[in-house]
Amino acid sequence: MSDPCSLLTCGEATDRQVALEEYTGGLPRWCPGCGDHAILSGVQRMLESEQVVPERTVFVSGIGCSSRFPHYVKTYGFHGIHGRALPLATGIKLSRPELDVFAVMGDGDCCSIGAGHWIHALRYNVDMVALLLDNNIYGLTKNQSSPTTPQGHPSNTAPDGAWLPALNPLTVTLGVTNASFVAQTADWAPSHLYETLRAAHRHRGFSFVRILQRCPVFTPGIFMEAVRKPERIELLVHDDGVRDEAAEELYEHHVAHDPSDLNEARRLAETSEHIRLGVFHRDPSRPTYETTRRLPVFTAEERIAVLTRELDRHAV
Amino acid sequence: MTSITEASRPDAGNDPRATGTPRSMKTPEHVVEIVSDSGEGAQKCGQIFGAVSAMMGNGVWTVEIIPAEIQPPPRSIGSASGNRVRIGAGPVTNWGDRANLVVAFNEQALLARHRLDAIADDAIVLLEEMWADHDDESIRAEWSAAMEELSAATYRIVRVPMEERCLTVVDDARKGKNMFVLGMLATIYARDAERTKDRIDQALHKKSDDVRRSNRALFDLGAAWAEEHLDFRVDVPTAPNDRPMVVMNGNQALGMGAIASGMDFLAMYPITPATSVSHYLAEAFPRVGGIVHQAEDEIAAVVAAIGASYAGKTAFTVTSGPGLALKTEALGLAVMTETPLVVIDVQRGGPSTGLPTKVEQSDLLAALFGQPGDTPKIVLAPATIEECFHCVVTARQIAEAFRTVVFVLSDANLATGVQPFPRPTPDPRWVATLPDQRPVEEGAKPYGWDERTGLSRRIVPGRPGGAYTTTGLAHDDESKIDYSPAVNEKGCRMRSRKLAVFQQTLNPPPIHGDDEGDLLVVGWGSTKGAIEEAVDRARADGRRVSSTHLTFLSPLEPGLKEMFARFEKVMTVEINYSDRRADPFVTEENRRRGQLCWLLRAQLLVDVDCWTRVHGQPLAPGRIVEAIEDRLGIGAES
Amino acid sequence: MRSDDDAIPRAEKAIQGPMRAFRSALATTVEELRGIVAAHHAAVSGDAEDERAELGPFASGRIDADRFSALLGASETLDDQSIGAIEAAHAVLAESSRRGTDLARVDVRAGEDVCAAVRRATSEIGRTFGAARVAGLARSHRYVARDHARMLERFDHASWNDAERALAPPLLVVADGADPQLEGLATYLDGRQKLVLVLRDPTPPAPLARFVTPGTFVLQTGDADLLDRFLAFDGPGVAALVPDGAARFAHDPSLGARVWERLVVEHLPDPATTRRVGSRSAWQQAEDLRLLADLATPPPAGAAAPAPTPAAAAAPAAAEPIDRLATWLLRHAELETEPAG
Repeated sequence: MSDPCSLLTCGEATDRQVALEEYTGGLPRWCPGCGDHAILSGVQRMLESEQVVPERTVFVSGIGCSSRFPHYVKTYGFHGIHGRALPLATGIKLSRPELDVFAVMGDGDCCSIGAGHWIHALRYNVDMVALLLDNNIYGLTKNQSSPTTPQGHPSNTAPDGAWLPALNPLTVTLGVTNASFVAQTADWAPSHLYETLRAAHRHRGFSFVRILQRCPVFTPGIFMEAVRKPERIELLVHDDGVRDEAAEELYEHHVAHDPSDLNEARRLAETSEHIRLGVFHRDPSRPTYETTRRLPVFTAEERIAVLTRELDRHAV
Repeated sequence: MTSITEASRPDAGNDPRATGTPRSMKTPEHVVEIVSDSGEGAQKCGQIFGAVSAMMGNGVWTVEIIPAEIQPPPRSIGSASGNRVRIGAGPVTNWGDRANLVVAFNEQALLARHRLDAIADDAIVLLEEMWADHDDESIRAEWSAAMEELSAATYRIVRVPMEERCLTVVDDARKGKNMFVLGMLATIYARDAERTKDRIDQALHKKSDDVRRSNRALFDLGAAWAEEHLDFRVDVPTAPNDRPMVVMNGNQALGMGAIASGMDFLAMYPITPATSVSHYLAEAFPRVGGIVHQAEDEIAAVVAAIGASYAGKTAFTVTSGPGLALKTEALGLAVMTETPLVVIDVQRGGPSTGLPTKVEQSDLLAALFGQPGDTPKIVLAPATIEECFHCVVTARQIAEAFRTVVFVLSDANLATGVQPFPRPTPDPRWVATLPDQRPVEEGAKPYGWDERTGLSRRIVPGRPGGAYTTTGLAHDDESKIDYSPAVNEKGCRMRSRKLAVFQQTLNPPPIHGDDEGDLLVVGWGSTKGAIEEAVDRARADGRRVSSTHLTFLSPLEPGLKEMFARFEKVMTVEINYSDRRADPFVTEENRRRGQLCWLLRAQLLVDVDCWTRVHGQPLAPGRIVEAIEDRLGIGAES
Repeated sequence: MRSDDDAIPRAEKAIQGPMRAFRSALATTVEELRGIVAAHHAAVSGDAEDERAELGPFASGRIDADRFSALLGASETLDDQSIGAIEAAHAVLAESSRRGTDLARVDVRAGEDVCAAVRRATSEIGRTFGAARVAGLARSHRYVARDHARMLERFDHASWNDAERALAPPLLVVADGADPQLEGLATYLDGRQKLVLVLRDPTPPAPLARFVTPGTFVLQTGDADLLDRFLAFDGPGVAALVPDGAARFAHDPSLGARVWERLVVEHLPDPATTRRVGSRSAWQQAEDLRLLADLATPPPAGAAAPAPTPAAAAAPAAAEPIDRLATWLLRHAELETEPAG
């Protein structure tokens, strides 16, 4: 989080310790067994351990199952319209850089209707955490294929199975100029999820985290094998990435991957027989858009002085 | 019919120098057009001429003549680029009817204006003559064909050796012919040479001393040539300004108004003719800590502005028709979440991509009713360039006070028109304050609607104890999603109530002319000057006609029904589409009317008629006079 | 290299960036309070005059400001004491905001020592923090004049909290090099506080040597361009632009865990050449130089080697630190230019 932008906030700085329960909002209405529950817990645990100030935090979302997220976190929230979480979050952060901003999206939100914003948010590199809760399906509208639905997986809009190969959000993300943090984790690896969220929050820039998320109703089988067979998982391990003892014990396949190596990150992100979890890319040297663009605040008096000069320039 | 004077050639017979003292035409107003290929600087010439005229105390309206393409082939009908400058002894509020003096850098540009019926029958034309004897045979043929076509007109064409004279000072006459022309105009209209040259220096402040020197020399050359060779002068009386004035176009005024309003976040996506607001602000905004965020698309632009507004300080976006269409859903979100937002829509010709550079009052109904469901918002329209400046301050203030979207409907006519107006006296109270960040009081709700007014106080992020989630879904006063009938009914009622309340703060619009009569003309937006001038002319001819001009279109200003009842007929005059009554198949029942007409009929249950055009040009007062006479049963409407 | 005419403007330019965060916070506070004061008065007086002005000339004749103001309803009001305190705080803050970068400029007056001058400057800055504290209390009805009013008058550095210390602007101090109180400035080195000294001759060769502590950036240089790196450091620091002939060194806490890794000495005069400057004896000055030489020298590979003599230290200090200086300068050049904070 950035500095307080007002002396008033500065003067009222306290050492108040925020308890985990204080991040709990409304009662989640997701289906039993939905991966979103685990993600919510992981996020709240991270908020508590990072002592994120609730009133200076905004969770932004679009539309979809995952977009109910802000209602369940007791911070400020903006549950907007389908696909537009990222521009909404961008506007908030550009206007109030001192706020801690999270954008929560589903695969329809991020990779389909909002795909244009996704590309450009990566390029702006506004300091925020963007979570893609990817269950490979449209859940809220009841079972339509999404861009990440595996080819051949049936849905109400493709009863004989999705026609096209699934889009790989990691290769897309890593292909965008100025991407500064790209990671993948899974709802069924809670400690890895937590560590990844923490790394994402600490990164100064646009932190994109794809979270593989189970939908027990429409895509129960898609991640079944990955959950049941730890050997399907390959962990990216590096001190500059995420280290999680529990995951490293559970998953035997490790790849030592330096997140500063973008070419290797792109190679690892390619679809393979392994599901790779960890930080693919991290480049803290990339300037954030709000630091590049934001200017100091001016008082009304100063503003009027400038306006007077502007009028002078147009005087006749 | 056209008489061609070869002013540069004494041997041509009709030597103006032989006539002795030039003939001076005293007139209350004059319209001059300067047209060239794009890139030859006619616009700069027109702008300086307009500014100097304003300084000397003439009323001025300057409007750009914009070529149809970005890089049109030179010397083609589509390449005509330049300015129309209308100057008057009193205030000038519109671009007038037809040009009285045309300076053309080539005969094709002249022909373009001729074909648009933009030139008065008795106009004088100063035409570059280099093309008549050009080495290129095809150019000579084009010249001859053009002269043939123009011979049906009654203009007095004076051939001017612009190129030949300019080459005595510069190597490339394309760069500088405009200053030669400015010199001629200074002589014709008796503009102060020193002031004009100061203005040239200002316009070229980024160029080298050499460039400024040669431009001043070209100006002197043009002035001297006109002095020696032209047998006429135009005297439009000047009256020194009794108060300081500024001059700018409508988009600059909107941008400066945004600075005055205290807003400091503009999110936009390039679209003609709105973009130049962001051009101005991209340069000026940083000086007050403001940023122009060029978003990835129109939707992202409005959504980022909503995000910025939500975060505390009211933000704005600028757009035009096609962009507005894309912003539709997001504007519904702003209304639903009661997020203050200023939307500046610089209207252009539609539908679809339509006429990107041309004027139309195209978006009134889209602004009011663009969204599915009920989306009450406030819509206002500046009528002058001065109002473009001041209305942004008001729009921002209303948006915040009523937690709603405020539309500012400008258009291409205001965007490119340049007019002097009294210099605003900035007041720090125009400037938005920063949102209160104190802890939220016990019991305060994010939508704590006052049941009577629908108004509620915002809780912006950062306030301790206020954490809640804003949503575009139906919600209760605590911003909790709730689809129950009572909650949705109430939310809709509260959002709508604000408009009724705002309408109660409005005064009835003034009437231009008598309070009663045979015809009331109703207009909105940039057509005010032309309509009022037309009404004045018609009244001078004894017609019992008045006009009123609406500033607020949503909610409508009060007292209209009662006002309309005092006139035999009521007719809107608009620049947008309507079926003409005489069109095949068109009946009173199926006739599709102008947008304001439609609105007034629906809202007031008054039989309002309309006269509208979608010719892509500002309205000329003369045409409106004809329309008025037609409605009064005098003369025949074309 | 430093020339006196040049040093002050260059240092002033360097601190402008880091000043921005403070000035911006100050302006923000001024505008927040302006809003509270305006809303209060509109609610209390019921007078639409301000509303009329806020709506601007476009509304004139079109919007009835009285009705507008009445229908909008009263916003929250404050008791007399609270609003009085907020207005007083607003006045202090607005005045400070008008002073701009002057707030950060400390000219040691005749007869004043540098510590007293810095105390004076920090108390001016402290008044903005004190005023903000008062306004913060008053806006939430917690202001008690008896306990809090004095914060409007004085709010010394000692009372600043961590957030305030982190936000405090850098100070540009123009002082005599021979000022005997220079070392007392260590009191102010906390948070992200930066002190940039422009020292007038006569100046001892290493006036800042004794500031070297593990977390403090200490820079003695003739090159004002190095100030950007210094000012970007996320912690406290003191820098001096010194004349030719003085020691040139940088102690950058981010360079390593051990003092010789952090300290880069570019130039060290021979301790034998020092002469008395003001109250500072030749021996004291030589001691400063020997301290630097000591700190910059890594221990030999073996165990406890005998401490190098100053003369012996000078030779390796000349060769090896140059490489490290080059590395340091390289880092400095690659650093993204971001305003501190």
